[in-house]
Amino acid sequence: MTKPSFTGTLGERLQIPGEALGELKLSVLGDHRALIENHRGLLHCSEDLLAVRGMHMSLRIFGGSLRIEAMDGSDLLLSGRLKRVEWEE
Amino acid sequence: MDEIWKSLLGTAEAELCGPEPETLLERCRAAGLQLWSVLPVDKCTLRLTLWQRDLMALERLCTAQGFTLVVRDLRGGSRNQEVLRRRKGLLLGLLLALSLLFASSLYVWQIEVIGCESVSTGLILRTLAACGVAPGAFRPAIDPELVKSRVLTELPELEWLTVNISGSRARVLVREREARPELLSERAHEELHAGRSGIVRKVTALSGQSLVEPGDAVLEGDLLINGELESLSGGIRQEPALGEVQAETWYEISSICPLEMLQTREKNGAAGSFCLQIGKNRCILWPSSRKGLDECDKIVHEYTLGIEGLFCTPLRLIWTTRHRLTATESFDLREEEMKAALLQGLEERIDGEILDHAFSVGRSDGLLVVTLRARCLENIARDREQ
Repeated sequence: MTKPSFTGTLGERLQIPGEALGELKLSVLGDHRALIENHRGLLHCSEDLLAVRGMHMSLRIFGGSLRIEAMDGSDLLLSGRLKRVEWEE
Repeated sequence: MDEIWKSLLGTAEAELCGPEPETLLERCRAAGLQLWSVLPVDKCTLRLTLWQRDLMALERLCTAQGFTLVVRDLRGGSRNQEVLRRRKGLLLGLLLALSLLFASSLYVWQIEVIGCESVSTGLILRTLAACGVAPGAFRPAIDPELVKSRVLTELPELEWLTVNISGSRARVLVREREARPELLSERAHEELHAGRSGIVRKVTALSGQSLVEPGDAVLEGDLLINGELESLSGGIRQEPALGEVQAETWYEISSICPLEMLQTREKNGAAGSFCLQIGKNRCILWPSSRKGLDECDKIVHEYTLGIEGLFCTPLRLIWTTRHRLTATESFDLREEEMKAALLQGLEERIDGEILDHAFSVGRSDGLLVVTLRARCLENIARDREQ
């Protein structure tokens, strides 16, 4: 069993929302839109895969016709047909 | 708003070509560039949109990373700014309008009273005005708690009041004081009296002692059923007087209306006027003369400039439609209406039935007089308080 991250444990103990501690937050709307908050960088960007780095993990979103609608220092709005999401430590 | 902002600042659509375009995107992110509509065209090409002001920074990053940058389109920005720079009057007008809008938002221009039923809205508005809440009042100077206590002192019919001010709109919520229930007199049901003069036809005394018999003539106010009864022990015992006394009664009711009446003409005879109200001052824009518009029916449409629920301005457009009145005589129609109204009024008035009735119609001094004479059979027994 994998050990939870320090910030995750701290957030739970102090009842602080994870996003306030900089944890990656993913909000998905149906199968066509996703909002990634608190990302730390883009690892891969193509029509069928988007990979971003978080504080302790990376997130990969598989799909089709993927397109970054908007992007700034910490947030990223993705549109397209979402198929699968994977987290990797 | 977003589109206005974009057209003012200007956006650029660019195409980047190079190995691993995501590395360049990562650099853009690190440099704080805002990007949107990022579309991978192929493995080495990306198409994206960014602010025009960030183009130079993107160009530097592309040069450092060995990417080629092609600017495909430029929208808004310097072109729109140039238009505004040339039209200084327009810019000044915009700024002036915004300043006026901001200044007007510091004043209350619309007052809405909610929750009043028996106390009139006008009375509440006048009392509020005396307490400093009126159209044109300076918003920061209004103390809702002070207004509340002053209005409640002035209007004892109100139980509770609150003033909510949002923007230039003041919403006054009121709750009226509930009237005290009337105290029932202990002697209220001890006696039944005649509510109307007539000839008694039938007496049904359910409780108490009947003092009249069928065939008796009674006058209004006469005692019909008494609740005081002799007790078996010798004293007087009190019972509620209950019962019905059916009596034949006669009515003569008249209705009067003028023979000639002013009626509105068809819509094509209508005239209109257009006013602009600024604060409390009204400025008639069209027509300038009110001659010949006095004997008219008025329909007023008001429109306050602003956005419902967001803000309102002291400007109010008032469009008044006036329908001219003409004298017409529709005698037969009115006579029938009056007869029907008299009969209906009598039916609602009596606790019984109309046995027979007759109408008489007269005209004198420009007036139409319709008289109803009716004989009725009704219950005339009434409590003392009725």
